[in-house]
Amino acid sequence: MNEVREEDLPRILGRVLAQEQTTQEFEESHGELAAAGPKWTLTFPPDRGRN
Amino acid sequence: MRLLIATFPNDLHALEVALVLRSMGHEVVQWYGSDFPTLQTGSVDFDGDGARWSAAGAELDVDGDGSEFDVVWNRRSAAPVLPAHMHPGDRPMAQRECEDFLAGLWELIAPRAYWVNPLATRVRADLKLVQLREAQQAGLAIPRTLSSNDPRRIRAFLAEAGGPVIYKAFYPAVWKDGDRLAHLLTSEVDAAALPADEVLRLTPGIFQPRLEKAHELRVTVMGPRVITARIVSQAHAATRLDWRARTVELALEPDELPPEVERGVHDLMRHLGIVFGCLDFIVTPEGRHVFLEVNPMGQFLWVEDVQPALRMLGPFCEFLLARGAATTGGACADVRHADWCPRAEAEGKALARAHVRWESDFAYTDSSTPPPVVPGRNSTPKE
Repeated sequence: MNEVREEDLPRILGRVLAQEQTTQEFEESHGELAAAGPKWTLTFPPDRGRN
Repeated sequence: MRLLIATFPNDLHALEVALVLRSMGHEVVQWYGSDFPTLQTGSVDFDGDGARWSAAGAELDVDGDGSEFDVVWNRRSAAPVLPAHMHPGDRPMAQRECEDFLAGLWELIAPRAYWVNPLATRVRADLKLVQLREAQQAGLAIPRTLSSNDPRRIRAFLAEAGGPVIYKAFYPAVWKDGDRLAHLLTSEVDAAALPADEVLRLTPGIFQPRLEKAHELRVTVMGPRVITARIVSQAHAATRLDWRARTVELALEPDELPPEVERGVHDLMRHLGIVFGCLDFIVTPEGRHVFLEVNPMGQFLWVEDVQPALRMLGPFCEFLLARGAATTGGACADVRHADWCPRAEAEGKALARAHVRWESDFAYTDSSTPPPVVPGRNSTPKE
């Protein structure tokens, strides 16, 4: 039986649509709020959805 | 007044509110859920007709028979955190036993206190499908919505929408892989982006037509008080679909709800059985207010941080002290987030070392570098 490599597995819709960024790009998009990180929320940016 | 706050390390909201209330002479106990069980013990002793509970740990030493607190702010009841050095075979049972014990303990702590939000309604109020149904019944406009994992229904919804469709998840999500992040925000979706049916069915989602926006609203409800912030989300391309994508230039302005929408908001809160919540609305170019969702324990101080004219800290402290009654203001009229934030941050840093760190359960790890499926090239699982 062939071993299935993790990187060959298809991704769920949420992962397909997720916006990819480097940490630097993320910080440029969010400035001080990003630098604060957990200051505001465990899931930055300020939550929508369950938080 | 004696208040209890369920919190976690570095929770700026809890730290600021506790500092303000203590400065006014109230007693505040901060209960760090992640300290249980390694730094914290709890007991419930049933004896005869009564039951006494107790909890002790870092900065915590409380006990009673259910009448010890006037107000409980269930800000974030962090899950218990087990130590790394446990036998892996024992971990699932220990975790479950900890969670079940604490759930019962919290029910006994202060049943007659004013709870923000009540334990009995919190789980239901958090469910997005329940929120949409209750919003409908409260007379609020909501988007046409399909929530499903049925590939046939999802594909038909996209085909029949007559325009762009958005997808959103029930929970926030971010995948981390070294210095790369993948944030799932509200995203436009078309048929070409959908994975194969056998993968699509693995995660139910929320699908709605993409609505034209004039702007968005963040509406924070504190009992009878409603504070409305206009989010100027359409000024930049990056924030038109989801303002959370770029907050570096985020602009907020004070706003108000039309009376009929505000009545609907209060009806929704009553139907959900909650007294505090942060609601998201779209306002269309025609001025229609469309309800999206409510975060029963959403963040709110960031609003005052971005726009100091939108006072949040003072009104929230008043709301707790009034135990949900309408207030005329005054008790916390001079309380400003900008004045208390530096002290709270310093205290948070100092206290964090004394408590068990709590990790978000919304962050996932991509252990390999994953080129996501390219739209139009859906792959299928290997056998």
